[in-house]
Amino acid sequence: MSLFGKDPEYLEVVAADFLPDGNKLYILVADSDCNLHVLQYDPEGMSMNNEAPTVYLCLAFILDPKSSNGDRLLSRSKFYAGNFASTVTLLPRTAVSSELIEPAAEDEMDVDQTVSMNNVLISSQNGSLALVTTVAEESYRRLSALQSQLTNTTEHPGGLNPRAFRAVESDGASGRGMVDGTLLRQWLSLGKQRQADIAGRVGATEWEIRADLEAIGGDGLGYL
Amino acid sequence: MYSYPLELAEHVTAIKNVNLEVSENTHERKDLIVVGTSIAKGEDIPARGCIYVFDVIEVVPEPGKPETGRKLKLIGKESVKGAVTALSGIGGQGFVIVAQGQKCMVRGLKEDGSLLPVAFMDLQTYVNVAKELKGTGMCILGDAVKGLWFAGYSVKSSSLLKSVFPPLLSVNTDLVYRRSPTKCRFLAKTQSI
Repeated sequence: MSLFGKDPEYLEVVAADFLPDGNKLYILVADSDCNLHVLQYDPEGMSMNNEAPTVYLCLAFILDPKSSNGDRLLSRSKFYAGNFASTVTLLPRTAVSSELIEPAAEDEMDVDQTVSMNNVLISSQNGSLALVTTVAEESYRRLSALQSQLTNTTEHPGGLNPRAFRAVESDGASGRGMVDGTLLRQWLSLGKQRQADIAGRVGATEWEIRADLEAIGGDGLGYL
Repeated sequence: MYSYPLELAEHVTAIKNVNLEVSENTHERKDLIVVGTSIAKGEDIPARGCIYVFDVIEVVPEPGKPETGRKLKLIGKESVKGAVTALSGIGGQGFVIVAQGQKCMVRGLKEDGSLLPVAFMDLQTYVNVAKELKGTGMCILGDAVKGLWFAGYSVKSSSLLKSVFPPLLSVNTDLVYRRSPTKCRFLAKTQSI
């Protein structure tokens, strides 16, 4: 047996599983402080473009050339889940209805290139379930902008800041940051006018945002 | 439905359904329940463990109790030094990787019911997590204190593994995970998860 790579810091691993995305291999680790870490095995350590950031309830990561030939697992992202995980399981994902739409005109781009094939289900000791899905770069940008808009415009009950809640204390750059699906879903409960307003500021149409939210919403596990 | 008694101070620490190769001659594979236990009697006595391999068989149920129609039949048992803390299937040959104490061993089931070690790796303190990337020989071994290790098992000699690995990585993940979205629905329904 040979050792391919180790994680960069001491993690108290409670549960972990793989999360393959296209031809990239990520590993999701839940630690004893209720944090989720995303590590990547990247022996070639190349490519600066982010083909598939992901979202917590959806989460997100990035690439970087520090892997020293794959000996080190790269720490891509950290996210405070808030729940003590008991299991982390890789499950296959089926396409949701918005991903199955065929392009009407021939000159439109290929729709299906970045449909995510896997997602990870996390169960916690308090009985809650969480789903981590990879999304395409474009989708990630929209959702990330939506998250900032929601953080800035909605009321914070008890003064609790959603961004600070999910941030994990770390000395280095903690990567691009996972997007919080629970927060994003609040957009759906806003009034029509506000939804349109925020969508305008994000720079996306309401349909696009709804499709993104559907893709991360858990319908990919519809076979269960 | 069925229960199997363990010895005094023996606790089940890991249980998984693994597709094991039951015969070296015919290469027949079967889905078997592998159970890892630990026998810990205190700080001054070194912990031991045991690996059980069960098959789920159909029997004639008791009248009026249809749930007694299934039994666990013990196929293999192996006593090991060190508590068994995690286990998982690994590779394409039907082996099982067992974390026992501070070592991880890849074992194959033999016809006489023993689990023959095929490969091993020394690890840190308490292996909490052993997960394989299905169809490949790669696995993650997570320690409760010292972090995560990403390792792999291969039938070929391990010195070859690192150089073969980068092209193998993309081929394997492609083969395993290249499914079109519409086909995946069908596959997911028939596959046993």
